[in-house]
Amino acid sequence: MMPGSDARRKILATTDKTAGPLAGLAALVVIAIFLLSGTYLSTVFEDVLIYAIAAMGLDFLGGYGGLVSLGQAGFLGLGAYGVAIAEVHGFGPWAAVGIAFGVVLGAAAVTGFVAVRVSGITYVITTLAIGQIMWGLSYQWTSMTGGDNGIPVTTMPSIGSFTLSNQQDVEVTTLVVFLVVLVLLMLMVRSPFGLSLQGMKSNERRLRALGYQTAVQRYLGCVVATTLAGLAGILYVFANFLISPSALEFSQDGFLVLMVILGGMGSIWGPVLGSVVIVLFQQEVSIYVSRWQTLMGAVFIAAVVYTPGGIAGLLRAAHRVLHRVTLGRLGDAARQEPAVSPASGGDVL
Amino acid sequence: MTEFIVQTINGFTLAGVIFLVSSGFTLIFGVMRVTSLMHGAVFLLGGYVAYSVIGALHNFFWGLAAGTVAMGALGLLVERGLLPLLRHSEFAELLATLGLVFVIDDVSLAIWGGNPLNITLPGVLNDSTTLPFHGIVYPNERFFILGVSVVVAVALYALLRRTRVGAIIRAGVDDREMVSALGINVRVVFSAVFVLGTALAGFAGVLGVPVVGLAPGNDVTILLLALAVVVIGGLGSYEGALLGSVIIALADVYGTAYFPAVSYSVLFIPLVVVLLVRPQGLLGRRSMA
Repeated sequence: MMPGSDARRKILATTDKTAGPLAGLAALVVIAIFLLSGTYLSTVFEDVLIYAIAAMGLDFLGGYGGLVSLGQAGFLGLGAYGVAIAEVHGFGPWAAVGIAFGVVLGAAAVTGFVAVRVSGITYVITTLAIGQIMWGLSYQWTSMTGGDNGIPVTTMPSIGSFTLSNQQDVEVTTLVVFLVVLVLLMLMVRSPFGLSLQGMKSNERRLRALGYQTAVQRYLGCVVATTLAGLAGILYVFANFLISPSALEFSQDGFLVLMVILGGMGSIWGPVLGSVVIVLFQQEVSIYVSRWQTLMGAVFIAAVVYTPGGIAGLLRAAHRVLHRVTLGRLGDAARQEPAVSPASGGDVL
Repeated sequence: MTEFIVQTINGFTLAGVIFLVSSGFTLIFGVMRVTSLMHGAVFLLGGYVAYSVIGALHNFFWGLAAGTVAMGALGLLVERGLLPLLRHSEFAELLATLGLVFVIDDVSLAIWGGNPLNITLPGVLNDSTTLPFHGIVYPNERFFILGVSVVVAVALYALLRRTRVGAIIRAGVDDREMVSALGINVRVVFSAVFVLGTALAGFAGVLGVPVVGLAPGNDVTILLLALAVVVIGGLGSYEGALLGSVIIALADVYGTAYFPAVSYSVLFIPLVVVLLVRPQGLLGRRSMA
C-alpha cells in the first residue's frame, strides 16, 4: 500500500458522506433564490415546490415501498377542494384548512387499506381508478364543485400581517412546508419504519418471515403518501386562488409519476429534481416549443429505457465514476475496496 | 319507458365498441403481461386517421380499413421497437406506454386540433329506423355498429377457440414458458397478439365515433372504461371482457341518464371493489400479480 493512502481514503469517505447533502443544499439555495426573486419565476417555483411535495409522497411509497400510485393528483384535488368547498359553506380560512386536512387524513386512512390488499400493477390500476373517481366527482357533481369552472378561493388565512393573499407570504409558507416535509421524509426514510418499507420492496416474504407486520408498513406508507398529496393540494389552492377539475386529470396523475421516474425513484431529491424539470417543461419550454408535450413524453420514454435511476441515478453514477478516477491514483490495494454502495434507486424498473 | 328502452339499446351499442377495445387490451395483457396504457390513445388515433382518409377518399370503409391497419402498424412498431428495450419489466412497460400517451395525444392535437370532429356513415346507415314498439326512432348507424361488433366478437371467439393460432394464444395466457418449451416461436405470437390488440383498438376507434365522438380526452375515458371492463371481467379473459363490456356500458348509459352527478365516478367503484376483493376478476382464474 502506498503511504498516505489511508488519509486520502478518509477524505474520500468524508466527501462521500457530504457530497449528497452539499448538492442538496446547493439545489435548495438555488430554488429559494428563484422562489423569492419576486419575478415571474417566483410563481413557477411555487408550483415546483407544491408538486414536489406531492411527488415526494408518491416516491415515498413508490420508490421506497414499491407501490406506485397513478391517482396522486386526485388526492391533491381532494385537499384543494376541501378548502374551497368549506369556504363556500361559510367556514373561515383556517377552519377550511383544518377541515380539508381532516378530510385528507380520513381519505388516507381509508385508501391505506388498498395498499394492504394489492401491489404491483394492480396497485397502479386501483389508484388510477380512485383518482378517476375523484376527477369524475369534481367534474360532474356541479352543485358541490362548480363543475368545469371550479371554485375560486378568495379568503386567505392570515396571522397578523402575514397573509396568504400576499404573494411573498405564500412563497415563504410553501418553502417552509416543503422544508418540513423534506426533513420529515429524510428522518422517516432512515427510521426503522422507512428501512422496513425498503426491505418490503426488495423482498416482502423474507421481511414477513423475519416477523415484520408488512401490512402495517404498507398501510402507513400509503397514509403518508396520500396525506402529502392532500397537503400539496391545500397549498395549491392558496397559490392559484382556484381549483378546477383540470388539476385532477389523468395527465396530472401521469405528470406526478413522470416527476418521480425522471428525477429518480427511491431518492429524496429525485422527485424534487423531477418536479423542477416537468414544471419548467410545462411553463417555460412550452413558450418556445409548441409540441413540448411530445418532447416531454419522448424524454420520459428515453429515461425509462436508458436511465432507470432517473436524474438522481445519473448524478450518483457520475459521482461514482469521479470517485473511481480519484481512487485509481491510490494504487491497486485501494481499488479492491468497493467504492460506493450500489444505488438504492431504480431497481423497481 | 321509451327512454329506458332507448338507453338500453344505447348501452348495448356502447358495449359493442367497448368490447372491441377491451378484448384487445385483455389479449395483450393476458398473453404478454403488458399493461398498455396507450390503448385509449390508439383508439383515438385510429379514429383521427380514418377521419383524414375519409376526407380524402370520401369512403367510410376505406377509412375504417386505414384506421385499423395504421394502428396495427403502430402496434408492430411499439412491440418490435420499444418493448424489447424494457428488460421485460412490467412496470417499465406500463411507464413507457404512459409516455406514449403524452406523445400520441400531443401529435394528434397538432394535426387534428382540439375541436370535436365527426364521421358520418354512408347511405342508408346515416338514416333512422322507426322501431315497431313505442314508435322509437333510432339511428341506423348505431344498429350497424352493434352488428359489426357482434360479428367481430364472434370472429374473435372463433379465432381463439377454433383455430390453432387461437389455441397457441390461449396456451400463452395460461403458461408462457410451456408454450415456448413446445417449440413455438413466442416472439412471433407476441407480435401477432400486440398487433391484433392495437388493430382492434383502431377499428373500434373508427367504428365508435358516432357513439363516443372524436375529441381529445376521449382516449382517457376509453382507457378507463376498458380497464374497468377487463378488471371486472378478469384480465386476459375473453368471456370476461364480453360480460364486463355489457355491465360497464349499461352502467354508463343508465348512470348518465338518471344520475348525471356521479355517473362517471360510480363506474369505477365496482372496479376498485373487485380489485380489493377478487383481484382475478369475476371470470378470471388466476391472480394478476
